[in-house]
Amino acid sequence: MVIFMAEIFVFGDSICVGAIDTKGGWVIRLQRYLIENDMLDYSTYLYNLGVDAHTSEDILARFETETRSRLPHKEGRKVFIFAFGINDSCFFKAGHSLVEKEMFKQNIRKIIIAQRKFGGDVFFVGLTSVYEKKTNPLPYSRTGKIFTNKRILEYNSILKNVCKEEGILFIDMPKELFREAPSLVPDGIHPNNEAHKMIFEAVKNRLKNSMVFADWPKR
Amino acid sequence: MPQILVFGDSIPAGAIDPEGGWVVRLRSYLIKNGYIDWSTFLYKMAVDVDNSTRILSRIKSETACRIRHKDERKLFIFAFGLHDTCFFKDGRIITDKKTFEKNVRNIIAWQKEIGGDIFFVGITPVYEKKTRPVAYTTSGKNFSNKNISEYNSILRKVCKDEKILFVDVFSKMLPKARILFIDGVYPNNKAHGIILKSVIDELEKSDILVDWPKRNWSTILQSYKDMPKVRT
Repeated sequence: MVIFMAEIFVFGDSICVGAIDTKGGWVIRLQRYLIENDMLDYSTYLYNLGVDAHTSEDILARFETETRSRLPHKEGRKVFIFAFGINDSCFFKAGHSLVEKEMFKQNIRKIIIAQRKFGGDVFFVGLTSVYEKKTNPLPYSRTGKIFTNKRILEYNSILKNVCKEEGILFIDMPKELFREAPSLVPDGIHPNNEAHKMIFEAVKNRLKNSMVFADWPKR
Repeated sequence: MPQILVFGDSIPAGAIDPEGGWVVRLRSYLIKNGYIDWSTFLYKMAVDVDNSTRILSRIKSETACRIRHKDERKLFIFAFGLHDTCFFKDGRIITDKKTFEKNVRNIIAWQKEIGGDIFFVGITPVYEKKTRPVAYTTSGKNFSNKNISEYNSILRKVCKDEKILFVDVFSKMLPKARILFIDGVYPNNKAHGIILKSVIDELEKSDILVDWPKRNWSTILQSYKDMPKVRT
């Protein structure tokens, strides 16, 4: 008997790691939901590879090596989830960006090409909002780092367009997250419990109508 | 931001505990009891079937891209060894004892350069009736408690030499192996609880978590109220 292992890889930033949701973040909420609704079980490994402050540049640099060292079962079912971009959209008071738009676009394409080598399903999660009063500029940044929702939405559109061109599922964040940013993103950048719940709901609702977790292998 | 980096195999990864495994439960416990808060990032870098050789090969790059400031507070937790003890019916082994000891010493030497705190969790026993050989393998994969005990002793000895905290779980779990490792190898919910309690007991006696840096986000403190209940 051969046991087919199933794996979920999540690459992203601090929001993907779960900051600052006391229930562990939207990724863990999603895993719990999928298990409770019998769409997968605990024989599926979920590798949360989100890293604080990471941009498309950082993720591109580590994507292949970190995936390869987690693939003992090449024939197993797998899903790649990407949730990044907010750190790319950051810019400085002097004018330059952390990752310029053209570079951002290229990085996304390179990540998609790298992902295709491994096969499996893939989807992207859109960018979340900031509470501009606390991010324009960031009070604790010596370099004058700035995050604005206008710019975040521009980067979100780039991501959305590349996904569309490549025929990849893109899950946009609800407008409410932007409208209600002061109460949902109280520290400026990191979604609170309520906001993580909204991200999770948005992802869950879109996945329901997709084939991503259909006939997922269980033990 | 302070960080906790966990390197190991499927057991710290959480298999097959419906509560997510002892690492996830440890984080909840530490937060709930005020040792750390949500500004601490926990990176669970545990990978199914990983052994000491594979951990050694990925540890440098995976740590380098997660630590942004070298002065940040950090804790390394290592929990591996079971897959090093594995042997096959044709006599093949995964890691001989000498290599295992060398790998452990190399990992410790590397960690010393990076700095921060460190501790090891010992190897869990197996329920031999289901691991001699492991039922679902075609290669005749075997795990024996005699072998595990020997590799566990190597870990204990190296940690003692290096004055590193070692959380031994082998002997306290061995008598109950039949009910703790239903499929032979993976600890169930109760078994993850035993590992968790052993880790907590040792951590609370140590000074690793004393003065761990916290951020007083009032919003986070507010939401502690609806934290899920943690079982130990």
